[in-house]
Amino acid sequence: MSFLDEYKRQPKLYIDLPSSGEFYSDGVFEDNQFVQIPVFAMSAADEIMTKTPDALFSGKSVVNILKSCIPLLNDPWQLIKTDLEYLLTAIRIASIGNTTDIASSCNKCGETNVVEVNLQSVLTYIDNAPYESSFQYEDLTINIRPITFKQMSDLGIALYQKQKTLYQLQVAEMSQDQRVEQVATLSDEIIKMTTRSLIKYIHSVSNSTSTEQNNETIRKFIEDNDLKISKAFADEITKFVDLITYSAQTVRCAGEVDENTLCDNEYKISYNSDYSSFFVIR
Amino acid sequence: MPLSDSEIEELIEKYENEIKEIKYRLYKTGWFMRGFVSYHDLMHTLSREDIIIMTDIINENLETTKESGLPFI
Repeated sequence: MSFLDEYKRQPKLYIDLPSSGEFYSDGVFEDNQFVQIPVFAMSAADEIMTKTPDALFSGKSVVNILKSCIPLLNDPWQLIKTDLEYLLTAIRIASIGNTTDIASSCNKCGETNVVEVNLQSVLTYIDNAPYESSFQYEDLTINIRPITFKQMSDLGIALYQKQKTLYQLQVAEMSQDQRVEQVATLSDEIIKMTTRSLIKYIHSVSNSTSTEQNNETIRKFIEDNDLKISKAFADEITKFVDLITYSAQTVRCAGEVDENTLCDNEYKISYNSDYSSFFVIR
Repeated sequence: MPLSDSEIEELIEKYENEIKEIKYRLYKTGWFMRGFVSYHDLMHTLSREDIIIMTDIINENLETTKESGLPFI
């Protein structure tokens, strides 16, 4: 391949990273460039990656697409959630244009409705979303920030495997008592895993004199403490997660309940830029 | 909840067919462009927009050939 090949592909847009790269170590982005980052359109090979199930499942598809379309990005696994969403949306704009269609099934009549989402407004939303926050619990200050793509991917795979096991338990041949016991154990593990995934958002806990940054120590502190603490922390972190996630859009169902009555049901859908999100829960 | 086994099987089949369609579209464009673009260009360099422009050029040429009655090959 000639070096001239590099010149064939032209950037479609230039973006500034919402977090300004504040949390990244040297080398995650080439020359630590966090502004005017060139974004290229997806090639056919990238499009094929979005349809390769094993690579989607492991997160490899997203990593390869990010590396191909944003050459300045060396380590996509280290991206925080908000930057990841922003970059994937920018790649979509560069590849397919300013809008994308989202199909959803009505929860009342089952009709498939398609809604057009303006991707520029997704970028604006993420750009204005906070990329860190803090809350008080008694005299403790808890600082939170979005988790990385690597953490999201690992948690998503682990949760998916547990939920698959739960599904298999429901159809497996065993006594009712055994099933109830195993389902209860597994459900408990899923709840713990979900709580732990929220704890990963905690960057540090401090009081007037000390600061703890070790996530494992923070996790033990929360798990060994009253349920009240874990609930208070989970509530605050969930609020933060909702805030940094592009808000859901309202869909009015165009289906028919019977010959003369329109369904007209209103329900919410959310936009997710991660290609594997419908496959693996992230 | 994640997709069920049968839904995953359906999705995999749908993806396999879509990948075949993408490849068919690319190789056909390559054939019509008569060596102007390589496999590498089609697969790794050109964007969807570029391929659509090429497809338009091909269609225009096919139409011109049809109207003029000249042999295509």
